[in-house]
Amino acid sequence: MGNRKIVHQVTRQYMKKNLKRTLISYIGITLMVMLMTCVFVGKDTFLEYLSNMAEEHYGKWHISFYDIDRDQLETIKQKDYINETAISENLSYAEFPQTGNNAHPYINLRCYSESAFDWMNIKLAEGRLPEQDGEIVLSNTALKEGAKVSVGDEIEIKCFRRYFTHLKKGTTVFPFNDFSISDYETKEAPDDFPVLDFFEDISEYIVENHKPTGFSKTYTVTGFIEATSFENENSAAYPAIAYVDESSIHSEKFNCSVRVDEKRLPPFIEEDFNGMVDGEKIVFNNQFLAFSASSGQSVINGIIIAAQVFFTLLIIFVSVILIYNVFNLSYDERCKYLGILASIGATSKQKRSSVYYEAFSLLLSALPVGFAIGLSIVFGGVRILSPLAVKLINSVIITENVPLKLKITPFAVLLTAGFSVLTVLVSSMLPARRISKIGAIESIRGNSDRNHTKAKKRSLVNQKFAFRLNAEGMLSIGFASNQSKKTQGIVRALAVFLIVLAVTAYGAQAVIQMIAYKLDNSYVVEFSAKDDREYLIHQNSEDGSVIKNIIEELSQTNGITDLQYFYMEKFGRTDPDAYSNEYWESFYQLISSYYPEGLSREDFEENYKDFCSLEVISADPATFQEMLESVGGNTDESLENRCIVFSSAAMTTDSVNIDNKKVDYRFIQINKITDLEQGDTLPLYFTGLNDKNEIDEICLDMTIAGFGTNENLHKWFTFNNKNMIVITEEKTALEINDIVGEISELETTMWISAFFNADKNDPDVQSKLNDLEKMSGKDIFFTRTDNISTSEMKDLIQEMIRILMIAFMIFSSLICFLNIYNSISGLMVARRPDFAVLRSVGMTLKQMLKMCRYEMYLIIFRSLVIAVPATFILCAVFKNFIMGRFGTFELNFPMPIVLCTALTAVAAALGIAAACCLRENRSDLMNEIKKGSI
Amino acid sequence: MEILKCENLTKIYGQGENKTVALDNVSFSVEKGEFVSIVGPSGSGKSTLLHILGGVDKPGSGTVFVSGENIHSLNEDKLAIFRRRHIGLVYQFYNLLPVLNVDQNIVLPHLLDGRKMDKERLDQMVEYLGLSDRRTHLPNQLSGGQQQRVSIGRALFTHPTLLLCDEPTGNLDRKTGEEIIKLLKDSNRKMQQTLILITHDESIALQSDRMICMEDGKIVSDERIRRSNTESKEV
Repeated sequence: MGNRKIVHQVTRQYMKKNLKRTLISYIGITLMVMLMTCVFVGKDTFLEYLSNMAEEHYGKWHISFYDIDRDQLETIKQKDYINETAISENLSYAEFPQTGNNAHPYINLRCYSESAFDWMNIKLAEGRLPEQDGEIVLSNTALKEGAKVSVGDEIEIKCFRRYFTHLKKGTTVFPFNDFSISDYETKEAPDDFPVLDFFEDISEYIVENHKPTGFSKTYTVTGFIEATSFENENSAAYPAIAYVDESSIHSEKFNCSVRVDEKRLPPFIEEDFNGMVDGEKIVFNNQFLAFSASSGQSVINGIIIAAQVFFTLLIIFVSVILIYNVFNLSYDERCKYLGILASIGATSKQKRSSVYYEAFSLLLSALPVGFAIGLSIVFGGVRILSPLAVKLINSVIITENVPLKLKITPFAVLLTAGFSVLTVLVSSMLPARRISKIGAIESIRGNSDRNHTKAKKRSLVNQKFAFRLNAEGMLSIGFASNQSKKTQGIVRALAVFLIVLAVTAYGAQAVIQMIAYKLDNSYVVEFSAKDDREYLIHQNSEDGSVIKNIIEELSQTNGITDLQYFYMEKFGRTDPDAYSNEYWESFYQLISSYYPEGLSREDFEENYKDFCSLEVISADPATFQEMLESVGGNTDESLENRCIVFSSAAMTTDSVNIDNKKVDYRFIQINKITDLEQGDTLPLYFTGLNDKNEIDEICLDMTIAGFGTNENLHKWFTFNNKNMIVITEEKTALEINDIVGEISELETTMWISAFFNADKNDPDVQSKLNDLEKMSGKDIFFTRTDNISTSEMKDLIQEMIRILMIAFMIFSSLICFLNIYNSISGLMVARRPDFAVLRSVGMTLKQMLKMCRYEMYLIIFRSLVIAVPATFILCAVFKNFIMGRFGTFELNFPMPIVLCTALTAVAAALGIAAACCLRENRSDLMNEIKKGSI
Repeated sequence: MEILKCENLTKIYGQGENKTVALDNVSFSVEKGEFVSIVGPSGSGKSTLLHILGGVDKPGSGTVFVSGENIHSLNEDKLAIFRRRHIGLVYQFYNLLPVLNVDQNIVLPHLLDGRKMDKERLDQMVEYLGLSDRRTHLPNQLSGGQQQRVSIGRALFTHPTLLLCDEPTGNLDRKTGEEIIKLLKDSNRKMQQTLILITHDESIALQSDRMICMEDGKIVSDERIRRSNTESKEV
């Protein structure tokens, strides 16, 4: 048997002898492998799952070019990063006399080339897909709704465009169709616009007329298709798709979808076409591309990669500390047996190999187990997250069919194994090197680690202070200061726990905030009332008296609660001086990024500092008063035109765009939008065209009664835009309305939205709700708030990140807790002889527990001394990095989360220490005496 | 005045074939201020007896009265308090707290009892032990003899009813051993400290007032030691 084999055999024996320690190392390494698997396989699996869902819903295409001609198609095809193309054209509407539902009297005809059917996820319900010119498929919804048509039938199609004419003066707005029409004008209907009968009484003054496109053809129905992503149940038309060959496209302008080689895709595709294709007509299938981690939005890709690096580094960090601590705790014992081996000829290399042998033999058995557990967690985790993912893709029905499969690529396995090996190697390297340097005699005598001079110094420092304490205090200081190396493991374990939790929480908050800023493209006021109130009434016509009467009536109805109403945004302007220096400086910085050659201050002042828009929203009197109190404003009602200025704002390269130029994304948060003080006057200008068609402007001076932010006004709404927004009370809103009406001599209105809860068991309330239901669509629009899509992408991504972070924190906490337990338990075992001595000289259990508690306080203090500055530095580095990449924004330290977790860690440490102390106290004193330890 | 009385002490380790009788119906008593040495071969039950007398081990049967208190009828906490107030233990391997310095180790039982630091007594004790220039040293910075002195100081600091020493010179060279015995004898003579000492060294045993000889867990002899006045003075 060779020397090395002997060393390994002895190591194995000691591993068996210290089964608990070996088990803890094994669990730690298994958890580490498990987390690595979650990071590498989890990312691939989850992204593929999302990608598959996105593909199911949005199709397999990567980029679509709209309204292109044949020359442009040729240019597109010549690009080396474009792999495949598919053609589609929308031939508009055609009558569908076979319909069984009067709400859908038309079909909307699209023509697809062969691959387009696949890329757009056209799924057959019956028959077959069109394979040649003259064949068509219809929506299966038509069949379900009683259309008199079947496979094999021929239908004649004559295409037309839909137009509406407004037969009277005034404006009719269709808020949910993004369409308005006024003053005798004729306008083309937007896509998916319903039939006019959908809106009651509108047909009296709006008429629909059709303009033939000139296309007509007879098609044979080859089948019926399941509802497509573009099928809209409110639309007047059923989708119908015919076959078209690239050579026989009917229109001059058509659409082309492509699949690309993602790695060769240029960063700004519009620039690659040198203006040949209008940038606005290029659409990325971002949902699909984003989940392939190859989104056109580099920020999303960056976040995915940064999150992966961040998680991996944290796992390595916590695992290294755990494994290192385990080896450190067994140092004395290992020293002894390796000393004996050294005395009979074991070399330093062989001594080192003992540590590596233990570490890697544990890793070898932990790898498959950790990998298997990791895969189960990934599978379960994706299952848990899939409801959110479904919402994210916004497709409830289709995605149920997407199978959840683990994606295990050789690269992910290699990364998991590679990083696991690296972690174990790094964590065992230092103990191995240290142990190889100890001589045989020192090892056997057990005095390999003594430093007399240092001990004496520490002892002297504590002398005066220690005597002032009771015995427990004196002992705890003695243990903590004279055995600091032995307690170093606990200090490290606690410090790592605190650092990891704090940095993870901080990082998570940063990522969540970045996503919120990046994906918040609405730039409108987001009312919080829709989250905690069940019903919404929105004004739907110029006549505001109807909704006002309803609000009045509701406010007096028992069973209607939490009524809150707002006058929606009105746009005006203010003086440039009303905006703060911080605002203009930030604006200058952002605008400058569009001028790589540089933008002078003068040019900026001349071109960008002239128009200062301002938005007004108004709240009911009670709500306004509550808001004022919340922001700590002046509640004096005698102030004239009092308002709350929303002082925080944000500007991004998305919200401020110059000539459609593409620049790297940049975000700047503004903390103080105005330098005006409370009580100052804020001029508010409203502009309109007077009866002579001249621009007229009237000023209304507002008095600033307070300053609001997203934090102190979040109960009512949130807002992230670059414009100043002021909140006024109702009477000011009505005054503004009069002013605007005065300018344009038109009857104007400030649109009202009201939110409320209702007791549905109250018959009177039920009857009112029914009445509102009937009225909806005319002067008011009435709905339940849960019908409003609140599941915006940013909320869902934020929620997913929150869940992932919590999961990561739980698992990394497990490693950290294991580390803390192991360190404390190891220390207490090493202290057994000392405890026995203390018991023999008359220390009671209560005193022993007190002593342990005092010592833990000192250890916790030492951990904080390390953790606080380390966390501060890491967070500062992290902050600098993301601010440099993303932009400037206020990133608060998540103090409540960190405090809670820190307290948990401290409580856990104290609990573990007490439990271990009790355990050691139960050990037989005589056994210790017999063992010769005392 | 009888300060210690033990009756029918029995202690058995193991069961069946592995059964070992460590103490077999041991009874004896000790008067206040007496210096008793216990001798006997290894495994005769000396240390077990001493530990039972000191309340760190429990007898299988029998009773131990110290100052009239049946110490094994006390619960764990009360026994610990009794130990720190009435028993001083000195071990062969000193058993000092490695993290406390000389002064701190000496006053430890006193402080454990919740009493205030008696600086004057500490100074006297350190002086008496000859450790004045080592007061702030940690145990691992002291020689074996010095460590044993600290251990004796710790045992004596609370004026214990009984000072129990388990081979206190077993780990020391002859000269240092003699110094330690002198110190113990001094405490016995000058402070009327009752002392029970286990030793293998006959010359040490002969310096005591009474020698109990043990074999196979039994007391085989219990004799007073007669010595001339001259000898006594020399000691």
